[in-house]
Amino acid sequence: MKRIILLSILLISLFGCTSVEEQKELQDITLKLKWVHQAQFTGNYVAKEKGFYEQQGLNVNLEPFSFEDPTIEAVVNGEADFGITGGDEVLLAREKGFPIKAFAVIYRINPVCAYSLKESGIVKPEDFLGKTVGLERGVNVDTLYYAMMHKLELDRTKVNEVDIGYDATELLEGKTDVSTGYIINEPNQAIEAGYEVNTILMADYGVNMYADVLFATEHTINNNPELVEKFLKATLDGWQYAIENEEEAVNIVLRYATDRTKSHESYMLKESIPLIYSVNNNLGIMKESEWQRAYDILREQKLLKQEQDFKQAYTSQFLEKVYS
Amino acid sequence: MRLGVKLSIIFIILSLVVGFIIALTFFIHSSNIIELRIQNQLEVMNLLKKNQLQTFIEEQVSDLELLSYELKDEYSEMEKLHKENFEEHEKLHEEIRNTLINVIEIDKSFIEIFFLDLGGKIHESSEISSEDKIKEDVDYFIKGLNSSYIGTIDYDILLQIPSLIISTPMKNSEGKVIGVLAGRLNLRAISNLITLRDGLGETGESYLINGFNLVLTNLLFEEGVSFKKKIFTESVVDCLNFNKGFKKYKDYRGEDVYGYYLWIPERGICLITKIDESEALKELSMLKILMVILFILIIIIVTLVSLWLARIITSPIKKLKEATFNLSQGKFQTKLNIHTKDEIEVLANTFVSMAKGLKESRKQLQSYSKDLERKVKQRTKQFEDKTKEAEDSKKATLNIMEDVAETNKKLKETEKLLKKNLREMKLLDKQKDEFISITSHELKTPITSIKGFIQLLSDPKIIENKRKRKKYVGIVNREVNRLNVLISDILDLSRLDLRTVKFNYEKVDIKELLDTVRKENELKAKAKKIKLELSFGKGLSKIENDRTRLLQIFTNLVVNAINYTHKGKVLITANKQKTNIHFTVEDTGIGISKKNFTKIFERFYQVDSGLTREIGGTGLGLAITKELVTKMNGKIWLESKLGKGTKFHVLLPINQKIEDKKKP
Repeated sequence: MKRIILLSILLISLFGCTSVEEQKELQDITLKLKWVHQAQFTGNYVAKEKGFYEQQGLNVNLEPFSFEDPTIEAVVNGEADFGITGGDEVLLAREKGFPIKAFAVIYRINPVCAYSLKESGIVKPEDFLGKTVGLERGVNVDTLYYAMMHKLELDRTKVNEVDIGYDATELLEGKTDVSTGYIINEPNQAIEAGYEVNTILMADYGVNMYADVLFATEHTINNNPELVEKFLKATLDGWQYAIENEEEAVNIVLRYATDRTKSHESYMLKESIPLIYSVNNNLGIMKESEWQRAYDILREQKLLKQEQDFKQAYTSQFLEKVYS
Repeated sequence: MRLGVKLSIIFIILSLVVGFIIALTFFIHSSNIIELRIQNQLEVMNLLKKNQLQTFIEEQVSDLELLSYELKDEYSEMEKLHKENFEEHEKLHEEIRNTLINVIEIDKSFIEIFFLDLGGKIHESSEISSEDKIKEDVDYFIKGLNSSYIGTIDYDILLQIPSLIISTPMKNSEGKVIGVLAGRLNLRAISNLITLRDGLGETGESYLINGFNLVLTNLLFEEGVSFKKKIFTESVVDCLNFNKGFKKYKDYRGEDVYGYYLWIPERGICLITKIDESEALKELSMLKILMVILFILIIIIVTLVSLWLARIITSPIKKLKEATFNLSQGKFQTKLNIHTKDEIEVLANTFVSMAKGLKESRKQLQSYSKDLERKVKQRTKQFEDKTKEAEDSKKATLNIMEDVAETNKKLKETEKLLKKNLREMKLLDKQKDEFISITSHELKTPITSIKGFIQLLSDPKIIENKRKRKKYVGIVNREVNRLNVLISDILDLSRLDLRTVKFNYEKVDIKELLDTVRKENELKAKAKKIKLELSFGKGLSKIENDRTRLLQIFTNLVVNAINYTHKGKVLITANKQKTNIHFTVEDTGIGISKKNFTKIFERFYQVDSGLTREIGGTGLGLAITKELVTKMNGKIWLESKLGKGTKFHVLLPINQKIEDKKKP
């Protein structure tokens, strides 16, 4: 009897030890997303669900966006270790004095687009003239729209610009001829409603700002570079896996985006891949010219009040390590 | 182990070792050749694909350059019109666009053809939605301004298809660059070109990989992964280091493959051609089977040949061995059938000459020994002759001595004979005396008895006494009868002794004879309550004999039997036995002890003297019987057990001999 008790104590302690060790190995970190749970963050979900984070010794908590607790503030406050936001947001935040730095781009092509019903015949920005264009506010859609019109030297006074919500309602109700939004999201609402649509990706007209970049505080980057590298590696692995296994990836997304339909998330991922993935470059690679372009746009529109060294807003040191 | 077996084993082992080494060398050589052939095949296919790819692209570039030249006039005109006439400009704009659309429809190699102005803005495009897009910072624009440019394979975001953009400068009639004409090539055509698996068997395939390990074309074993999947196999990694080569490695499935890879610097891509090892080495496995079959065949042939060889080698040796054995047994073989034309033949010849020599020497020896023998014989004879002479003289002496001894012996024999005759005569005399004495005694007894009773009868008292008279007369009568019988017996005997008995031979019926005997003695037997039985065997013929004498013999025997039996029966039998009749007279009487078996045939002998009187007999019956049987050329004997009974056997010939018949 004594022996059995001793043995069971030994076994329990053994199991206890290993589990404690495992828990010790995994580092709890939080990633604050740019938006609510949806296929936009597929790579992160996959990295978590397929164990890529765990392989790097990380237990990543994926925190969705909220207006009450915006992403950048959450990271700066230390509530989150990493965040996903726009390249323009990083530049703007830095002007405000938030010490953050981007270390990889996910959406290298900005998904902001204008879309119209196919029957309208509106296929290019020139066609906006004399039409009602609905603009989403506060999510950089308007910024890129202004930049594009400016770039194409189109007279905005000839366009009836109206504010719209974050969906295709106004277009479908006929309140607008053209609506704006993310190519990976809103046009699909019209498609699912049974319409054929024309999409005009603003990035095709010489205006682009990195849409989703991974960032951390300068403190984290300087003092915990290994953590950043691990997190980056796993996230990129997650995306690569998602690209190679779309169907499986969508199913993983649906575990988080519980209020979404599969068809919508499938569409979102399918549309996202060309924006994220470059045939002729590795995932996550950032170009100075693109940062320059974003900086120029922001400066032009006076969204950035002062000059700054945009090269300080990002670092490629982790990407280089990952791909070395 | 026998020499033949040893040799065979050595041969087989040697040939197998040699055969195995040859086979192994051949196999290794063959597999090297096959591997080399695979390499050549893959390399050829790879180069073929590369050339096809290059040619295809170059052809498209030429086409685009030609188109650019054709459109030169339109663009020169449009350059002039640009600022002057908006409507004309629009008209020309649509005209050019329609031309581009037409080209696309004719040449399916292009997905889209578009013209970029000096600002990098798409001015005209076969795809209307592309117009006004700004491509100021892309390579095909920047580099296309200077010379024809072939871009890298990319993925079109809106069309969502892989494509390769080629561009060429657009010049006006004065030769000044006014923009870039670019064409988006349909990569499906390229992909089909690359993935066409002609001449690559079941598992062979070619595919393109770009500088970022990305698969650009379709894969044979994984669907829908082009522009998505990244491959990091050995060959890809080496190829992306700008190398080319041939390797055996594990492909993207983890399968062993042979692959040839080539870095195409102009395109910045890697072309890989590979085939599964299992398929590539199919021939080798066939070769393996062939080798095994060949090996087995070799073993069989080698075994047979080595057995044959061993026989060839060992048979002369065997012959030699036999010859040696024969030699040891003293047989000289001066001929050996060995014609091997080698050392063994020499050995055989030497052996034969040795055997010949031996034979010769032995012959000599034999003649020597014969000579010697002859001489010895001669000497021996001489010696013997001399000995004989000596012996002869000795013999002569001995003969004289022998003659004396023989004379003595004869004398002694004569003496002995004389003595014997004397003894016999004495015995005969004694017997005669005895006979006379017994006879006289036997005769005297009844006579005395008769004399006495007659004297009594002469007494008147007795004569008056009727009863006594009758009794005495009866006694006298009986004694007279006895005397009568006795005398007749004695007469018989003496007649027999003197051979004066006459036998009247005739055919006698045995059954009738013996029945007569039975009848005559039946009363006597009944009186003693003894059964008297007859038994005859089969085929009983008549017997040639004297009936009276036969009756006498069997009556004698039966009377004797009845006399000496108190209880039971007397059985008479007669059986034919070849040329004789075998009679028996068997009783269940007192029996005779073995010592008396001969005595009973003597004269006046009776088993128990005490009984004689009671039974009444002369004691001569059996003696007469024996004499009679003997005279009839028969035999008589008996067997008996005391207290159990006696059995007399009489054997008489069926036919009497002539002499006896003639003899009186």
